[in-house]
Amino acid sequence: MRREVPIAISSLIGLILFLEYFFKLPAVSAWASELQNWGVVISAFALALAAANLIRIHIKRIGMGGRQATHSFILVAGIAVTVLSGILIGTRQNPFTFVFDAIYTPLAAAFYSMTAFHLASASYRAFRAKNAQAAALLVTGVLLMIGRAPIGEIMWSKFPNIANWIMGVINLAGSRGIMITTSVGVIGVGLRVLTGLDRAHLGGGE
Amino acid sequence: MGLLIAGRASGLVALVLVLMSMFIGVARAKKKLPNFRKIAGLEAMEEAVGRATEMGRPVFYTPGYADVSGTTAAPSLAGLDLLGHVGRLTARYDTKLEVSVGHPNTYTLAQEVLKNSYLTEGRPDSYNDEIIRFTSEIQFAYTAATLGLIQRGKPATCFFTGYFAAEAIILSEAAAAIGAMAIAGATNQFQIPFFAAACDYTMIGEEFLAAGALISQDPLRIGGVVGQDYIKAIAAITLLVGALLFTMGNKSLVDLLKL
Repeated sequence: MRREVPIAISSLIGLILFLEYFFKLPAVSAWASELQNWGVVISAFALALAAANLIRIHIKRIGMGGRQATHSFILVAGIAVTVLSGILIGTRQNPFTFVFDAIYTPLAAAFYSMTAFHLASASYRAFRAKNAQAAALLVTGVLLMIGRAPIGEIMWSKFPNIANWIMGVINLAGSRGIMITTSVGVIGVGLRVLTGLDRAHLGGGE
Repeated sequence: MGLLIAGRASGLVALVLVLMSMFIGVARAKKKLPNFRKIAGLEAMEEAVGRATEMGRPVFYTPGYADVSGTTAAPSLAGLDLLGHVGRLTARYDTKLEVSVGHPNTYTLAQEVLKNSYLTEGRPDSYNDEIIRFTSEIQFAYTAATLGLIQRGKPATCFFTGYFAAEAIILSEAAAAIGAMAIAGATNQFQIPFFAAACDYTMIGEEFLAAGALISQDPLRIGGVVGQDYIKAIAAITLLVGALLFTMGNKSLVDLLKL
C-alpha cells in the first residue's frame, strides 16, 4: 500500500493533466488548474521540511564551534534576516530587496564569470592528445577557436567557414541526435513514472 | 476537430504509440531480458564507490538544483534513481556519503530514496537526515553551497547526475581540483560538453535516463526502455521519409505532424 497509493494518485493526476493538454474539456481544465495550485501548496510544505533540515544542521554546527561555526552562523543569520524582513517589512523593500540586489546578484554574477576560468582549465585537460579521440577534439577545438576569433580571418579567410561548417554540420548533427533520443527518453521516464512501471523515486528499485 | 485541441492530434497519436510500444517492450522483457550495450559511466559507479572506500574518503552525490516536475522532472528523477543505487553501494561498503540537493521537492524524495537504500542493505542505523543537505533552489546559491561541500569534504568520488546548467563546469572542475573521480549524467545538451571535458565518465542524454532501469534488471522498467527504442526507430524512419519527401517538394508529412 505504501507504494501503490502514491502510484495511483500520480497516475490519476497525470491522466487529468494529459486530458487537459489534449482536449477542450472545461471541467477537466478546472481540475487541472486546481491540482496545479495543490502542487504549489505541497511545495511550500516541502520547503518547510528542507529549510528545517538546513537550519537544524547549521545550529548544531554553531553549537559544536570550530572554523565552520562561523560559516553556519552567517547562514542562519542570513536566513533569519531575509525571512523576518520579508514577513515583517515586505518583499518589495529594504532590507529584503537589499539581500538580493546587493548581495546575491553580484555574487551570482561573480560565480557565472568564474566559468570562463574553469572552462580554460577543463579544456587544457580535455585537449591533451592522449588518444585519437582526444586528438580529434583538440584539432576541432583549435579550428573552432581560430575560426571564431577575429585573428582567424586575418590569418586565413577560410577559417571562419571551417568553424561554421564544424558547428553547422558536425556539431548540429550530433546535438540533434542527442536531442531527439533525450526527448524520447524524457517522454519514456514520464510515462514509466505515471504508469507505475518505474517506482524507484519512491525508494528501493533494485 | 471537435474536442481535440488543434495542433495536438499528432502529439496524442505519438503518446498512444509510445505507451503501446512500452507495454510491448514490457511483455517481451518479462519473457527474456534483452541485452544492452555497456554504459561506461554506469559500469564505473561501483569502482568509484570502491575507490572512496579504499581511500577512506567520502562519496559526494548531487542530483542538481531542479524540481521533480516540469521540464526538469526526467533528469531529476533519473538522478534520484541513481542516488538510490549509490546509496546502496555506500551502505554496503560502509562509506560516508554526502548529498547536496537544491530543490525542496527533490529533497523530500531524496530522503525517502536514501532511507530505503540503507534499509535494503540492512543498515538503517547508518542513515541519518544529515547525509542529505538541502542547499537552495536558486542556482548560484546552490552552486556555492555545493562547491563548499566538495572543497571541505574532499570526497574521493563525485557524482553529478541530474539537471545542471552553468554550474556544471564549476562543480566538475572543483572535483578535478581535489583529485576526485567524477561521474556525470545529464540531459541538458549545452552542459554535456562541459561534463565530457571535465569528468572521468559522462552519461549522455538517454544513457543517463535509462541507467537506473538497467541497474535494476527489473523487467517492467527495462521493458519501458525497450519500448523507447522502438519509438526511436519509428522517429528515425519518420525523419528519413520526411527528409526525402520534403526534398522532393512534398510537405504532406510536415502538414500531418502539424495536425
